Amino acid sequence: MTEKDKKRITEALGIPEPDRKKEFAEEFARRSEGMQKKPIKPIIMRITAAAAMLAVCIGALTLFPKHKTDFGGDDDIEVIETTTDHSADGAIVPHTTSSTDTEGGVTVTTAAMTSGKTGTAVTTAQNGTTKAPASQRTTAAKTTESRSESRTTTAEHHETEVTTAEPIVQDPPVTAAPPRDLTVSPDVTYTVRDNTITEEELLTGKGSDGIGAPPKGDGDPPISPNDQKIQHMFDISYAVILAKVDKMVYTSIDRQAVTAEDITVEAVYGGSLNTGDRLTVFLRGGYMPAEEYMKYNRRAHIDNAEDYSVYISAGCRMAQEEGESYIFFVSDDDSGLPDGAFSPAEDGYCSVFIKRNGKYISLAGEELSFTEEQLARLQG
Amino acid sequence: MSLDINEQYDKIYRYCFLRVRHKETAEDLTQETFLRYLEHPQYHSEDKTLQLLYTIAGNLCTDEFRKIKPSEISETASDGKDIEDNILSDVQLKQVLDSLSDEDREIVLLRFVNEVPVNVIAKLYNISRFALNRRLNRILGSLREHLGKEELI
Repeated sequence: MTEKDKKRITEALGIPEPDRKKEFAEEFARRSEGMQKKPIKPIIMRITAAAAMLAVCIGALTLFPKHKTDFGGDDDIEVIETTTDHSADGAIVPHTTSSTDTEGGVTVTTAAMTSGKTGTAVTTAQNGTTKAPASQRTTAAKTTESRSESRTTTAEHHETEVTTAEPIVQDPPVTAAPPRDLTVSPDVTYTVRDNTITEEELLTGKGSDGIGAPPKGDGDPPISPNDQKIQHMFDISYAVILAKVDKMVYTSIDRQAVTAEDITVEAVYGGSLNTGDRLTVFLRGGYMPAEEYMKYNRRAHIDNAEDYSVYISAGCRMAQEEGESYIFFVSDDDSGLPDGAFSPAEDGYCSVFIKRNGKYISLAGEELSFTEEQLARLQG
Repeated sequence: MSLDINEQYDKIYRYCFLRVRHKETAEDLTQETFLRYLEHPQYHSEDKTLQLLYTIAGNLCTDEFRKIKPSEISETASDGKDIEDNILSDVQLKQVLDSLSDEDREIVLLRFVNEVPVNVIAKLYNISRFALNRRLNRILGSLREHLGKEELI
């Protein structure tokens, strides 16, 4: 809306100009300065910081858990000491002093240097109560490498080789959350007929001035980056995503044409959605059967209405297409929409961007665009 | 967020005037709004700042309206009408705006003149953004005819 339009509305509403603005602005500026908090003196800040640091150090020293022998990060381990005898060829023959059920557990045998003819081997074993096989353990093992090892011990010039038992099966790598299907379906859907007419053409009976039916993706609206607006949209969005439009369904909610777009998330720039998630975004505007449109707009009339679909732009300057990817600033506010639906974070199509000439341009054509670098900064 | 008093003063004043229809009172309420704003913690978000300002102004206008005796209401209203009649140059537009409800007129002022974001207005009137958009569409349909434009927003 231009300044002239604003002035016309202001005058039509009968609002006169204020008289005391300048005096009050000075008074307000003076009071604002007085209300500002005084900074804390540096000496107080330093003493407070030193005291806080001292408290942290004392806390760390007193409360920190005492060191315990780490047997691979699992507390459920018992130590079995085994005394071994040397055989004639120098191999260690272990005699386990207690019987344990090592099924599904980890057994590590290490040989210690011994003098004379006896050796001591320390065997660490999983507690016998653990019945699950190692490959099904849900806690991550601290040791990611294979437990198989070979140690060579020299005793009385004899080479002794002790090898450990079964190697541990490595835990499966942690993967990202599986994609979710968050799509919803509108109650009523409209098909687009062969004959279409824009809302403007229908209401005025004249040809479109170019605003009505948008160009198919190749439009080139004026570009003028608006950092503040983008930052604002990023802040209020539930999620900022690059998503592919899988399906576009035309419907209406409370007599208003609405387009329900099923999208699949390809990249997430902000928010708690995951790559691969599918969701439905409801955007104002779209196609509506002409007879349906005429029911709600008495000024509109067209012969053979049942042959036509009416296009309501709702501010969209560049038509979306199925299969194309766009950046969406979405809100999870589903008031007035089916449960679980998503809506644009800001008014209509200014929350949807398409990549053109290295820039992301708003479909609303409100001179709103941003670059990859700006997007990266917003994420930071 | 630092407040641009020169910009916001006019906007809050217009909003107050539309509610009380009295120039002096509207200006008093505008100034009171900003003084009370100073007593609140400062928000970093522009939306929250605007919402706070309009909430304070709206409450002050409601309080002011309660103070006026019933006999004075018609007198005050007629003062506003006199000013309106003197200033109006676009009779058709005036007729369209007159045909709107008080709340719709406020919404027109907030959205199209003061350019308050949709989500802030929706919170002020405790309605969803979709409901607000529907109302705006309906109002726009009437305004378009008289302003002679297709896109007002």
